[in-house]
Amino acid sequence: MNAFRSLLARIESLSERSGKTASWLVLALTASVAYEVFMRYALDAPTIWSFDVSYMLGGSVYVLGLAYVLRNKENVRVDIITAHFRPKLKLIIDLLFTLVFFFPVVLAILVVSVRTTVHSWAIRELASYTIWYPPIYPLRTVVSVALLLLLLQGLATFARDLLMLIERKES
Amino acid sequence: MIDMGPELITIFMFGTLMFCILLGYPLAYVLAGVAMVTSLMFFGPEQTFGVFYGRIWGVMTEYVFLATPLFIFMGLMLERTGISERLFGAIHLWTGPLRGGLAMATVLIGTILAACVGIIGASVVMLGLIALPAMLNRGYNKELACGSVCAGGTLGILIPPSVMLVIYGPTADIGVGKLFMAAFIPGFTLSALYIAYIGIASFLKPQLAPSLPAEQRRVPLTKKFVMLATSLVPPLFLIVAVLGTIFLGVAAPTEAASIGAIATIILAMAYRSFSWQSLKEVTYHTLRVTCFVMIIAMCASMFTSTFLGLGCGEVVKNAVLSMPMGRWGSFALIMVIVLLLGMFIDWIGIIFIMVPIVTPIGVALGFDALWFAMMIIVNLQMSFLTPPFAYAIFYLKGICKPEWGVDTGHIIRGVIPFIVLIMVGLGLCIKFPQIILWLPGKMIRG
Repeated sequence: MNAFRSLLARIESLSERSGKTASWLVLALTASVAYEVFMRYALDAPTIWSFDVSYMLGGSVYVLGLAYVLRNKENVRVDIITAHFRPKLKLIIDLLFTLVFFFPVVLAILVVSVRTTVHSWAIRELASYTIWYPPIYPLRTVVSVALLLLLLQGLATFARDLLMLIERKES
Repeated sequence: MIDMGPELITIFMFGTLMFCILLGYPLAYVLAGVAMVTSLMFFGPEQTFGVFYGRIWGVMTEYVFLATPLFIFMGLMLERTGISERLFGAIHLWTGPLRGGLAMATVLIGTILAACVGIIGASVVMLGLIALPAMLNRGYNKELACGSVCAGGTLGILIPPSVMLVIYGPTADIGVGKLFMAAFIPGFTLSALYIAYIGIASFLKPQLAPSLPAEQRRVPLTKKFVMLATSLVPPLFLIVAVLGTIFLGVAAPTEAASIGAIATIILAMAYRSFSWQSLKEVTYHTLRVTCFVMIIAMCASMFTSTFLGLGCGEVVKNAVLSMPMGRWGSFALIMVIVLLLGMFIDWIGIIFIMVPIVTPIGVALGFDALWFAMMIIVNLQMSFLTPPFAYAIFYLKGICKPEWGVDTGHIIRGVIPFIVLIMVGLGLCIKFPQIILWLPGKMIRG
C-alpha cells in the first residue's frame, strides 16, 4: 500500500513538474511574437519562422499543462447542485464519470495520437501553414507525451478518489 | 448505425450535456464524453477519434488563440503592480464629494482596468480588495458596494483587450481586431449606465452611499491633478501600446498582446514589483488559466463538430426560425437561451458550444454578423453576474474577509440592478446599432 501511495505521489509530482516547466514556454511565446513585431515593423524584415514557432510553443503550452491542471483540480466545474451532496456521493459521481468519459476519450485519442506521431516521424512530415515548412513531428510528439501525462494523472486522481471512498466506508 | 433522427439526437446531446454538467464533473470532459458517446453510435471509433484528434490539433495551431495566454499573462502581471491602488487613491478624491462617489470611482476604475486587462478575475479581485473595504468603511450600503465591484470588474471581459473576444473571433470567423473595436462603445455605454444608476440611486437615498466628510475632501487641487496624472500614465501607456496598434491596423491581436505582455513587465519593473518569484508565480498561473480555457475549447469543438455533423445545427436553426413575430422573435429566443445558459454554465463553454450553432442562424435572419456577435457578447456580461453560477460573485465571495460582514446574499441582491442595466444596454444596441457598428467602420485596416 505504501509503495502504491508513493507511486501516486511520483505521478503527481511528474504532472506538477511537467506543467511548471512547460509554463516557461509562455515567455518564449511572448518573445517569439514580439521579435516578429520588432523585425517586421521596426526593421521591415519579417521572419519566416515566427508564425510556426509561435503556434508550436503555444500549442505545447495548452496540452502540456493539462495534467497539471487536473492534478490541482482546477478544471471548470459547475458544482452549484453537487455542493449540497454528501462527499461520498460526490466521489462516486466523479469516479463513474472518470470511468465512462475520461478514460475512454483520453485513451482513444492517445492511441490515434501515437499512431499519427509514428507516421509523422516515418514520413518526416512538414507543416504547410507557411512557406517555411518546418518539421511538425516534434509537435505531434508533444501531443502524445502530454496525453500520456494526462492519462497517468487521471489514473492517479482516480486511485486517490477510490482510496478516499474506501477509507470513508471503513471509518 | 442507430435509427435516430437529428431532432432526437439534438435533444439527447443537449439533455445529456446539461445533466452531466450539473452533476459537477469538469465541463471539458463532459463535453468530450457526450461527443464520444454520440459519435460512436453513428460513425465508429476510427472516424470518431480521428476527428477528435483533429480538433485538438486545430485549436493548437490557431494563431489568433495565441493571444489568450499573452493577455492572461498581462492581466495577472498587472495585478501585482499596484496600479489599481493608485487609480483608486487618485480618482476617489475627485468623485468623493459626490454621493455614491466611491461606487462611481469603482466603476470608473473597472472601466480603465478593463482597457488594460482581458480577464475578469483580475479586475474583480483588484476592485474587491481595494474599493470594497473603502466603501464599507464609509458606511455604504453593502448591496450597492458589492454590485458596483462585480459589475465594474466584469467590464474587463467586454472592453478590449479581452480574452472573450479573442476566442469568439475565430469561433465565429470574425476578425478579432474588428470585435475589439465593436466592443468599445457598448462597454463604455454600460459603464455610463452603471455610473448614472449609482448617481441617481444615491441621490434619491443618501443613506445608501454617503459622500466623503469635508475634512477628507480638503486636498489641494494641484495635488489632485498630479495624483490623477501619475496614476493614469501606466494604464494609458498600456492602452496605447495594445489597442492603439490594433486600431491603427499596425498589429494583429496576437502581436499586440505580446507587446502588452512585455509592456506590463516593464511597468512592473518601474514600480519595483517585479521579482523572480513574482514572474514565476505569474507564469505558472498563466499556464493553468490558459489550459483550463483551451481544454474546453478543444472538447467543445469535439462536441460541436459531432453535433453539426449529425445535422443537429439544422434542427436548432429550424426551431429558432419558426418562432412567432418574425426575426425579432427568433432573436429574442437566442438571447434568452444565452441568458439561461449563462446562469448555469460558464462563458467559455457557452461561446464554444453556442457560437458555431447560432452564428449561421444570425446570418439566415439577415442580421449584421458583427452586430449579432456583439449582442451575444454583451449578453454574456450577464452570465458573470447571474446566480447560481456567476464568476464575479464567486471571485468576490472568495476574497471577502469575515470582518466585512458581507455574505453571498448581499452580493446577489447587489448585482440584480446591474443585470437590469445590461438589459437596458442591450435594448440601446438594438435601437441604435451604431453603438456597435460605428467604431469598426472607422478602423484604418480591418
